[in-house]
Amino acid sequence: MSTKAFQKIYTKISQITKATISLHATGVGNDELALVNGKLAQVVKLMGDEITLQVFGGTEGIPTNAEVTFIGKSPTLNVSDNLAGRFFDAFGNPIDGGPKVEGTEVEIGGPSVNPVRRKQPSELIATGIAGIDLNNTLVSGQKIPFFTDPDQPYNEVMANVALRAKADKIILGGMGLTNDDYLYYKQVFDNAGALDRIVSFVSTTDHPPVTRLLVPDMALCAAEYFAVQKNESVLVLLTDMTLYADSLSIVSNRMDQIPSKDSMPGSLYSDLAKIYEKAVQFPAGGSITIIAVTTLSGGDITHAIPDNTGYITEGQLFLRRDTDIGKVIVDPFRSLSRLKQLVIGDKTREDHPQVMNAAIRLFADAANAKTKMENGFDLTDYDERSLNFAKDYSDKLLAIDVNVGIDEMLDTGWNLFGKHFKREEVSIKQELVEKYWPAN
Amino acid sequence: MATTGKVKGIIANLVIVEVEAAVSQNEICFIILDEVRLMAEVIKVIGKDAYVQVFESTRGLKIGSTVEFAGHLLEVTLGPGILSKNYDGLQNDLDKMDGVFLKRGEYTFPLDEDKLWDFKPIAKAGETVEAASWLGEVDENFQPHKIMVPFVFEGSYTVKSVAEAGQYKITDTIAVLVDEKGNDVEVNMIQKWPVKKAITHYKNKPRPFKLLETGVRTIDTINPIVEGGTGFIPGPFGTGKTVLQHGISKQAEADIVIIAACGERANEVVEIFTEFPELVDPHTGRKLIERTTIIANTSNMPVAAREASVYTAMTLAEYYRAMGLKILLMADSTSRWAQALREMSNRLEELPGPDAFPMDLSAIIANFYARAGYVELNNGKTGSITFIGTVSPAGGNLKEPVTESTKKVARCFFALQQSRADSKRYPAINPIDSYSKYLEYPEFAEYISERINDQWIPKVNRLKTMLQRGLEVSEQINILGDSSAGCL
Amino acid sequence: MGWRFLSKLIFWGILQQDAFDKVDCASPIERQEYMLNIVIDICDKEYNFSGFAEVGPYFKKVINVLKQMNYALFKSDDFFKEEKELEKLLAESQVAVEA
Repeated sequence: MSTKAFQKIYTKISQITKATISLHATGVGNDELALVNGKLAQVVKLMGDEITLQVFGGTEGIPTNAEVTFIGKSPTLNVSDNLAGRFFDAFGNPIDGGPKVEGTEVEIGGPSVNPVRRKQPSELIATGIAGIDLNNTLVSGQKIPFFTDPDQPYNEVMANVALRAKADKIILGGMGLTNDDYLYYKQVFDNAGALDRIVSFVSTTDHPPVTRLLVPDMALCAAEYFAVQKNESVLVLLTDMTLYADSLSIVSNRMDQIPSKDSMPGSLYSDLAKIYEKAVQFPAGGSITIIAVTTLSGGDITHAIPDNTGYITEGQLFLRRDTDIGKVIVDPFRSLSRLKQLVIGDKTREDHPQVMNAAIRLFADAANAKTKMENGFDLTDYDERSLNFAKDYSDKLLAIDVNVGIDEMLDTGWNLFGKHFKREEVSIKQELVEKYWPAN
Repeated sequence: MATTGKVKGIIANLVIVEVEAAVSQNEICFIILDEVRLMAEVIKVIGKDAYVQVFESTRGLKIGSTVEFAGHLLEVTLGPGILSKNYDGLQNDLDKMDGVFLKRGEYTFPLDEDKLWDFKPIAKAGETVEAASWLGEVDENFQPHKIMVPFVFEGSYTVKSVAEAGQYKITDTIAVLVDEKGNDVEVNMIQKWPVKKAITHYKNKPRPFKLLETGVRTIDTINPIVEGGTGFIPGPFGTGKTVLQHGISKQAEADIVIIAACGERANEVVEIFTEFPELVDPHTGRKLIERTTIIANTSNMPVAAREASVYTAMTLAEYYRAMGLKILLMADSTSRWAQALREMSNRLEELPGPDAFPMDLSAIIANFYARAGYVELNNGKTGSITFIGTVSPAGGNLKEPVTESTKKVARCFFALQQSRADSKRYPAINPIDSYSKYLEYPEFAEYISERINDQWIPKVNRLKTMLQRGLEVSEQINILGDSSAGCL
Repeated sequence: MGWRFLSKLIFWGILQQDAFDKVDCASPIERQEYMLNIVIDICDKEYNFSGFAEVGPYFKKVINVLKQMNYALFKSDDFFKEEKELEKLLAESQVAVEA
């Protein structure tokens, strides 16, 4: 961040807390950035001439006579085509050894789209993963998180989804990413030869937690440039939003705000919504799709972070390990894509909705049979067959290592029905059964 | 002369203004920031300091900025042309705004100034009228829209003249009245009203009794709602609250439907924008959009305006009720409204109640629900506002302040259940936990006897008993381990 | 044991409704009255089954017909066709009260 000439330098700090400092100054705007002994800070409160600043890097070592200069603007990003292929920190500074990006300076966290100017999302995003494409189809302009315990391979799944989705740009917003995971993403994108369509903003665990707060706005600011100015389809990956929310609670705690549920600030819903609602289908053709990660604690979705997220996003993808096949699957019961209705059976083959529902219903029958078995009850022939079906279904469709086209997923579905069940047991519309039931 | 002031403190969207003269609680003011004017509302006054909540982002705002007070409370503009409009929470016409993104400080007029309306007089010269008396009517999307004596008029007036049938703009004078002192008062088709004050220009408000058909069997048959009744739909995410609300707003036999999208997903509003112009109202054969007004304050729009949006929606509903129409008002979600109250209350450093919500949350919710109802107008006609709000309980737990406060006041409770939704059984309303107090109203029983037959309510009660027993048996079997149970 | 099947029947015959189906999404009160009467009648009837295993499959069939009725246009040919089917089913398993 460069500073303007002839700026006033303040050197009298009146109060220091863990995250904030206060001083007397005039002519300062709300949300404006400042440098405190070279550390970036932002105005969070003005009371007469007393200004409170949130110091992103933490206040450790800041003396009461630190040099404070105000930059005269809120956080910005230089946007241009040159962002493509680059890696930045939370402040938008390059971390890949490359030069600073020239471009139009834009304030991050900009205005919302007028709801009447939005278009209804309608473009299917294929990922090759049947647990997503078949059961929880994604649509451009959608916002959806993975709900996952921290031990699941969510970063791998995200990277796969990103590379297979036919997006013009992929923007990675990494919050509290470990350095290993950051390097993993970099390597995967590099190996896939996709680096030229990737832009990354990363605050790793090496950085102070408060810097995470800038990452989503940086990523989405870049996304808006490509989606609005270039009419591109942009996929934004945000990982991990739970760590973002943790930073919110740190700041609000240090600002002495009254916490609400689970020590989260009362504004958590609005804070998260402001990010997720940047997902949009623009009328001119560009779109922003957000796929996020919300790590859970022991699968608990009633915690304030997943709970508020669930009310904001258009569904969720729930990852869990299926012990029968020893693989990670996309749980068909707890996952949901609210927008799939806009594309399935319309942009995809006619039998899609019926195959999807029938398979999930039969999978539920297997779950019942399993409970029965575990409680020592006798299994019927149907129970046995549904259990065998469930194993096949998990392995050939739900597992996250599946990578096939949607038609093939549907064919696989029919083959499994034919292998394990009689026609009347799958209760699918007669005309579809006639057309697709496997011959044998 | 209007009061002015200077900005003295800024904490997010709470701004403290040092005022130079008198201000009112809830008065509107505008903070001047370069070329834009940021609208705000006074929410607390201490000495010379007025605490205002700003309906916009306060980014870049500086100490010492000028503030101009408007001399009135937050109000809506009432007149023909409200139907089919898409408003934000402050009644700005969203379609009149340029560009894809919302601009800070852009306020647009909610009605159409140039449109000509076919006016027919109702009142005659020499008649005595008062506030809310019908002077004439225009066709608004084929609904009879009454032009009334403005609600703010006090006392009685004598009609001097009413315009002849013909085409008029909303700004044209359509009647001249003479007040008690003998002064002429001109009336056009526009009037204003503060949103936080109920429009109570009716003779009385009896208990509601007429069934309001929603087309949803678990509601109409099992737990019916009535014209002028209140209901609420709590449910965890993914249980189909929004699908149910959209369904009701499509099918209900109301003259007018007002939907307040309060702090929810923008794409859900887009669904209404996209579908309602195509869908046909089953009762009139007209397009659904013609009877619908949308107040869209989606979750990414300013929080203070979210609080205002439900009041804006209610005031529009009260305006149409005064014309003798049946209004259905849907608010999705009242929890987001309560959260907006909480955010402000926290910034004001008020002593918090349960879950950090303001202490008077219950009272605020109760007052709001009380504005719905079935009324007999002064001219003997009737009108109603049926209000259905959704509640988004944190973690799906119904023992939280918003659900509990709402339960005390809403007469119908439609409990959405996670396990039902998980097994794709929609609508996921639990028939046993849900209730409708209207089933206990003798007025309702009498009405149903005539509309359907006198065996209806006993049959419905038997049905409920059977459901209850079935559930109990299922629970027993569950304990005993029969895996095929639990399917109710 | 009958309560469980009857409550299932009430669920599928009345409560369950398909918001995405053109016909089923909206049910006028006259239609609701018609279906309530049918369902109550089914519940009031006496049944005579030779064994427990018969009960489930039988009610499955009844429920399926009720579902088809809900999907058919009210009082259309299809609707009456399903109603006939229902009457047939009910006649099959209903016998005079014995013992």
